Amino acid sequence: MTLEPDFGKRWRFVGWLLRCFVLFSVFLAQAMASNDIPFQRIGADHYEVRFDSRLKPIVINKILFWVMYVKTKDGLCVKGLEITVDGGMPEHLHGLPTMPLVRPGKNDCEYLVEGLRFHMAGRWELKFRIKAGDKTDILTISLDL
Amino acid sequence: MIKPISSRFLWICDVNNSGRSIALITAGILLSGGYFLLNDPSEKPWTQDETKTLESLWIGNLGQPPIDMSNAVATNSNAAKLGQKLFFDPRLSLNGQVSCSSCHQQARQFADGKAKGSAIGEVQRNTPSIVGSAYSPWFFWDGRKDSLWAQALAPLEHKLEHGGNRMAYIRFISSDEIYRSMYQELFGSLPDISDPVRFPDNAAPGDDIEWNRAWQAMTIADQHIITRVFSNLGKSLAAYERLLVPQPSRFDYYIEAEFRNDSSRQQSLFSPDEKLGLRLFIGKAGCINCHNGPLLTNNEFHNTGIVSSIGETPDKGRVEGARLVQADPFNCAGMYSDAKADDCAELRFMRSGPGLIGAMRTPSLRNLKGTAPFMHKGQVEYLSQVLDHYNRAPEAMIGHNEAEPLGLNDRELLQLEKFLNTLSSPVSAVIPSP
Repeated sequence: MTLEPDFGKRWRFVGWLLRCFVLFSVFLAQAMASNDIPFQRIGADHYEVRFDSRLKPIVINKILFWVMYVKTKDGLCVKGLEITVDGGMPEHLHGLPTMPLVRPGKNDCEYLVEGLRFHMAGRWELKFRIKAGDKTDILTISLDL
Repeated sequence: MIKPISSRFLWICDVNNSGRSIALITAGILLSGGYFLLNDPSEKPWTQDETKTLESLWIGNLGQPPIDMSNAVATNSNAAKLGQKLFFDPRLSLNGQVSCSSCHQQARQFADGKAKGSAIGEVQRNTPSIVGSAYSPWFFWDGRKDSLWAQALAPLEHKLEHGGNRMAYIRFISSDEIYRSMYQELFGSLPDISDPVRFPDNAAPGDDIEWNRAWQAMTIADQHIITRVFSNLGKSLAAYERLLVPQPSRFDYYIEAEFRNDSSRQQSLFSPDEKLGLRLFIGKAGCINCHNGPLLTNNEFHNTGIVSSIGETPDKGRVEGARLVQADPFNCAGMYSDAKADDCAELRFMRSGPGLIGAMRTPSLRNLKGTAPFMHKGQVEYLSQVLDHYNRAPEAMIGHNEAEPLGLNDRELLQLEKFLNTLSSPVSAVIPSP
């Protein structure tokens, strides 16, 4: 019988911890690189916006329908926002191939972004103009496809 | 002491030191040869990202064509049989000599190998192949139709193509026992058109003054009855054309070998130049930007600065096509469509306007070999000339050329051309059993 601590067990534990850390890092890196996770941005002045695509992952050459969740920074829904969207590929100097529309959704927080389509792989930029009364916020988001 | 360059050079060439010179030269050749062998770009394996990109072009990912909500018989095999019969029947024309297959020839990848299509007369544009066309939301070079069936109807009444009229076609279908039976099995009874006062021999809206006058003399209800049957013929033609899809090409087998890490199979399928051409296609040359997906087309509209046909003003392209499809009575939202308004997303969200001046639909690059000459007017005779055009990216005559010069050298252009020729394959046209 020995009173020496069991270093083997301890190293095995550290080994498992390291493995878990590596696996978690890989998972995190993949999740961050994926284009189908909802992305979140703070509007220029007033809004917090989150998107969800019905089609996941987001692919090129398909008409897309997104739900856009809009809240104020205080967490309140805003009814009757006028939202328009446009965009394109800055590196290729061209716009969107379609003319998507944004209309109110099921509740005051939801807006439906309909008719988006991306026809090339690469970096796309979308500009949402969110108008309430005489105030307009512009939200720009990037998407790597 | 360091010798001056000239004397060092002389030392290498010195006849008195010939043995040493030969050894040095040989070593130099071996070293440089070894360097090129080790760094042969055609030997470079594909990265994980590149393999993913290749997979996106693989025919195995093509799947079934998207559902056409505007055509209730799009996937009906009896409709495909009727459509196939109509497709090859020259009786569906003014002179009894023109069928769809006159221009969309099976032996030529369903194109005709001419600069501009010609049937009863010569038309304004090049005949595109219809293989894989069911995957596109837009038809014709300018996308002036939004379904395969609406597209199929247009040449039937074009004075330079089939040259006929819908009234005469319905008369023909009604009088032919086989067609009559096939039609009625699918769509129900054909209308009674025996009254010559209500239904003249020839009538159609359009350019022909006599036929148009006869058409305008018909009641709206009778016009609708005839046009409904006419649209059903288009839907049957579309059910057949939908089945025309490319089979795997040498390129697809190459990708499959990549999935299996079978480099010896890859080497037997692709020459080093073809592999380098593929690398350019998905990389430096940027062809994949527009020629993406398993059919190597994004089915979108781009102005790439193609010169106009000799003696013609530049083609307005999509800017005009968008206007025409919006006004087309056979579009997805029209009364002859089987779709609900919500089903017509492509039409609802269609972009139009001056940004599309001179833009033409991106064609598929599969089976280029059989479809020359190229571009919307067949202006470009050889594939090498097409590549040269994109390499230079000249200013567009109208609108704006989206393309940028590629900066490829002659060798790279040749490699790209060699790769593009690996995309040839047979065409499948199998009508499934009901």
